[in-house]
Amino acid sequence: MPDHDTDLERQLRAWADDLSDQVTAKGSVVEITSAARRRGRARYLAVAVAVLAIVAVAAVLATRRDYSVRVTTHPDTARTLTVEYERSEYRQTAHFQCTPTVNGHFDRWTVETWGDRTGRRWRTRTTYPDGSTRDTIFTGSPWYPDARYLRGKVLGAQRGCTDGRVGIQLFDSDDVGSMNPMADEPGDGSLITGYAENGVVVPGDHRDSTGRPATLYRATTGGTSSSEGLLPVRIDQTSDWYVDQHGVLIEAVSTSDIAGLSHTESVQTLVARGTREVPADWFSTAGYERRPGRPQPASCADCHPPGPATTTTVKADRAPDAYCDAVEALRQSGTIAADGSFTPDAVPYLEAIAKASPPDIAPAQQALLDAARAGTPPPGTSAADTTQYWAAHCTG
Amino acid sequence: MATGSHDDAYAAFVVAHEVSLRRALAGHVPLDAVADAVAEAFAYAWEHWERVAVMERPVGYLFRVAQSRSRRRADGLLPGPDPHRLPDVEPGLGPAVRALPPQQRSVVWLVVACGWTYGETAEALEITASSVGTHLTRAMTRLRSDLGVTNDA
Repeated sequence: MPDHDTDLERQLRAWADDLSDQVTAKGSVVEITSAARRRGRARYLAVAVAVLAIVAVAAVLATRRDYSVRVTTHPDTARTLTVEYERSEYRQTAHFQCTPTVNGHFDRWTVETWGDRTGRRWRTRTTYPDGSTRDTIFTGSPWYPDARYLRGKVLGAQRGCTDGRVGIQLFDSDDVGSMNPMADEPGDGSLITGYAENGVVVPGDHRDSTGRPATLYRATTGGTSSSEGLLPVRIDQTSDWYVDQHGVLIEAVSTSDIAGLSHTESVQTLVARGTREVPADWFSTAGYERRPGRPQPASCADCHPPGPATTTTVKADRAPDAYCDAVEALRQSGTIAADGSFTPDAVPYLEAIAKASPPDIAPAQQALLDAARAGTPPPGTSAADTTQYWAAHCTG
Repeated sequence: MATGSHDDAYAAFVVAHEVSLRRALAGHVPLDAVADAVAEAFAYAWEHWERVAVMERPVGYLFRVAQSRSRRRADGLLPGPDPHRLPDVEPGLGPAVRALPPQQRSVVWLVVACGWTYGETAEALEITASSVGTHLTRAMTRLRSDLGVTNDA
């Protein structure tokens, strides 16, 4: 049964969408328009000129044939697949102090993804408030598909400033849109990362926007935008990931503030997850537009990570010199093992780094130090966060 | 009657409203009559383009046109969600919606399932916007009760 009103409303929309799909008229909108005109003209003439009534009726009948109903043939219901399923609700807000521009229509939509690990097929359906849908089917890999198949229009709004300094639409309707992986990651060292790699745990009790208790992982970036030809402005971005007790990402929130220019926020909330029985032809690509695949990069330098797209280039603030000097000392110390872990001799270097750490990563840095002191493996999140911080703030 | 100079505007009008009208009618006339009902509505719009083009809520008006020109039969009306096509939709949703009084059922369908505004819905059903709100509240309360919906996430 539906969990709450939002889900009840979603189910009503899905039902209407499905019924509407079953009565799609043959032909394009242009043909629909022409048929309606013919029908309208025919009726008008029938009234105005009685002698042409028969012709008008014939035209009407002809038009009716144009509108013969296509009832989608149900697949062989005896053959079904069990697939992974995830449904989320996406919404975005944007406040600009600039001349705004927008492509698309809607600022909220429903994202459903079905994953067939065995058949290596993934389907994402985006349903917009008007009931229209955008379907994407990937084969081979959800990140680096052999081929992509698309159907329907993308109606999500892309908002921004006319000068291109800022924009928002974090979910790309042409990607597989599950919040949690539905396939084994390729393990190529590429930039397929999630909350565990990018965020650090924020202490305290947290709940997502629907009130579900969760562990909050957060990543923050501060710096200046570096849009070409424009004066740099201060930018602060925060990504929050709410993760339940099973390690399932239940909500992702991304905010971006650009000084004097914009505040944008996007929220993707998981509302259903599990397995589903679907018809055997659920991943049929008949009627879809085929697009080329997305080759897996040979090296990370070529990585094209899927998922949230950023539309603003950010140059990170450089960390304090003392911090970066301590990092460099650690790098030169030879106390980092080949597998990335720290030898006991690394503790003094890590202490120096922790002492000089900027406040926003001090907790992660301390966790790393504690692990090194205890001789235990570094907590993945802290290590990853710290490493990325080093790269972003102390190099280049 | 429209003239050739209106062709582009009329085509844009169809593009803007066809999906919305089709969805709305899918909940109000038998599925095998929806396409014809849509065609009747747009034919009417073509014949009366001067008037329809300036309407504030044309889709609500055309909904009434389509309904009035459609065959009225009870069979095949509002078939329930197909569990194979919609595996994540509660099977009891269809009977629960069909059990609503006609006015409440229409309001739920137009406002919730189709995303129509209160104004469009009021125009379509020839009632006031406040009545739309009243019907919607009652209908959703009843659906929540019938389906055992809780607000516990």
